[in-house]
Amino acid sequence: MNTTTVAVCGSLLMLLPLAGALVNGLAGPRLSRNTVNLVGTVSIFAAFVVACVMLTLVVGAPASAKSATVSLWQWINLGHGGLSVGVDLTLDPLSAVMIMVITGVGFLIHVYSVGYMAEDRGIARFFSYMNFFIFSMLVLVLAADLVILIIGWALVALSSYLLIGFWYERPSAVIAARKAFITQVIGDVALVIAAFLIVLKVGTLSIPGIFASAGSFPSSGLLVTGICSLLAIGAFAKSAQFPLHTWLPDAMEGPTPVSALIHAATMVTAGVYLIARFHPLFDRAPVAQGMVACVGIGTAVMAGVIALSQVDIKRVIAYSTMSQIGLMIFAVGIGAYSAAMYHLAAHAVFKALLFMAAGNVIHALHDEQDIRLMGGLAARMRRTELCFLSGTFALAGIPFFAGFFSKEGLLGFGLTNGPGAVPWILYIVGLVINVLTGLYAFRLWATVFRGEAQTARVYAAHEAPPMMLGPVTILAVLSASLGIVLGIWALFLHANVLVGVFTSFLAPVFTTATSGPIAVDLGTWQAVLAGTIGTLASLAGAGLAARMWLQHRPDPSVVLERLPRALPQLSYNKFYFDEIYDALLVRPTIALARTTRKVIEPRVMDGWVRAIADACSELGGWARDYQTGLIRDYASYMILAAGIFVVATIVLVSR
Amino acid sequence: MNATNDFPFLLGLAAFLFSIGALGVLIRRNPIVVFMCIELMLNAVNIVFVSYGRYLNSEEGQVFAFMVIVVAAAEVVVGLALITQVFRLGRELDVDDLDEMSK
Repeated sequence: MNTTTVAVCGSLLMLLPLAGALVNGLAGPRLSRNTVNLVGTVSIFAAFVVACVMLTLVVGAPASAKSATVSLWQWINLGHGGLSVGVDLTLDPLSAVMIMVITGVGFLIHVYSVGYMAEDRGIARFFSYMNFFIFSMLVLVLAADLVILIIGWALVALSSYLLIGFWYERPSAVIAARKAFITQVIGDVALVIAAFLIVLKVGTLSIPGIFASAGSFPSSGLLVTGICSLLAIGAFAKSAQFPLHTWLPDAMEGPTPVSALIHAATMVTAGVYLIARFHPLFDRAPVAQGMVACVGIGTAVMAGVIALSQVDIKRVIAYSTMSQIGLMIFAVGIGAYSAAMYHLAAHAVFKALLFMAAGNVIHALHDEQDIRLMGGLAARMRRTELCFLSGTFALAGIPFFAGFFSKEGLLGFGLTNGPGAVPWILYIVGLVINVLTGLYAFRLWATVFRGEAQTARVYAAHEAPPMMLGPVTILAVLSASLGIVLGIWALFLHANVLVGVFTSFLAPVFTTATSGPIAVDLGTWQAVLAGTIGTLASLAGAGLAARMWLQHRPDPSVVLERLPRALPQLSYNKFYFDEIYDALLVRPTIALARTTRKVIEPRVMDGWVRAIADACSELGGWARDYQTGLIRDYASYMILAAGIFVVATIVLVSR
Repeated sequence: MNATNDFPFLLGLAAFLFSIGALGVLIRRNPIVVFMCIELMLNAVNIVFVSYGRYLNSEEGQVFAFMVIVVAAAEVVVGLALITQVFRLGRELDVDDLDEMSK
């Protein structure tokens, strides 16, 4: 690839959203609503066009030269042998996939926002933040230097904070924004410590440089395990994985397009990207990989269980996002990088779709989010329902929808890799996740769109305007056809239908991976059988959900009563994580702060300050007695002192 | 005159003049007289400078004496201006009466 072209395209790609953010952010209040909408969406569309150009660059490049790193300028240079940080960009298949997802899905969500935020007065601020988020996310995925990556990493957290708290008049939104930001800062700190450790060992922070000297880390060594664990903690905080997952459901306080863009399609998958990007290090740290895989699959099960009983439409989708990202994290943990990236792209499409369709519903019901008050919306919102169903099918992994190919490919990979009985255990857990996914996905559809209307508001519902329906429809078509299109493409290129195209496209990035085969061989009958059983599990979950919620009155409590008592309570209360963190972290911190204010502040801190002040005042009072204001007194002091000085000198000299 | 012989007398004269000046500053209440006493002290010091310069065969003592004369002139300008201002305020010229600094 021509480096100049890459540099120009890369800079343009990042500058377009930034320019949009600046125009709307600085001149927004003076512009008309139409201009604001135009600037907000056109900047992202232009970025999408540039991203397409970059994708064709990567596709067109010969297999040996799929990756190009260009240096825009040198930022920090501490001399020969010292640390040097450059603003460098990397364009390779991995970042190409990410920029396509970010700008493509991002553009559709921006168009949707024009409709969704049509009544909001802060539209310029909203688009400014959204464009800024796209810019930050592009910095994150294009960075070829760990420092730049961390800057992007922190900037997406900032934009997420700004957008969750977009409706800052609501106290709950402000608290949620703060919670999300603080949790992510924990991850930022872990990432920075990992960067320090890397500098200590290899003396460079340039990502290609780190990978070039990855061999200097002893395999399974303590240092590389530590670095990878810290990187993983950063990824967990960003991707809402256990134990740093509690911020994601609360982040639903933000406007729905924000949930679709940041908390479903792009930012929360940055953790998956990070681990995939740093696979040369992770491949040398099997312990860290195992930890990542366990956390991923554990979060997937936990979030799936919680999603079953939540009653807020956006929170159900949020927990399903958490569960799906858990699967991706699990996949990168077992070395199935291509499968994870495929699921990331497919998930970005169908989860943005689900959120936007849910946004249509919320819009139609005037900001009602409780699914117990919905039901029977299908009659009034036919197209939204069809689109939602397309997303649901993809989410549940119903055959030939996008999610089917990615998820079954991922499970099949788990079955072919790993020591001893581990693959079988993982496979069974995977089946459980499939059943859970089918259950909560179809439960949501059934309770919202089917059955009888639960409130009068449903009868007043109207279909969304075309500005909102358009992007949703495009995504619905994509989520139904993406898998098939890629599958047909794969048929021409390879024998592997499942994840074939993606694997071969991403192969140049992951060739250095040392943990066994990267491409999944799904041609064997075992893999086909495993995939079939997995699909049957998904279908079973879907069927069960349909039976439970479609025919009965859509009341989750009815189903809750049928299950053992403890489980529904745990699920409904989200395993009490918020309460546990509140008791373990928040309350002790507040208590400590209060004690400090009542005891340490007045006694210790103010104590010595006041002591000094009192001493000065005492000294001043004593000295004031000698300030009579009479020249005679001052002159006597001077003469007295001079006399003492003279006498002392004479005594000392004569000795 | 012999420089070595009259040196102690010159120092004694300086000490005598300085004591008169110091006593005057401490005792007198008229600010103008206090000023004159200060001048007396300064000139006593000048005599010490000049006589040491002669005694040690060095010109530095005379240079210092000139410095003191210049500074004394400047000080008199400021001091007399202050005294004039106090007089213009219609106040009695008495240094014991000018004790606002202690209040």
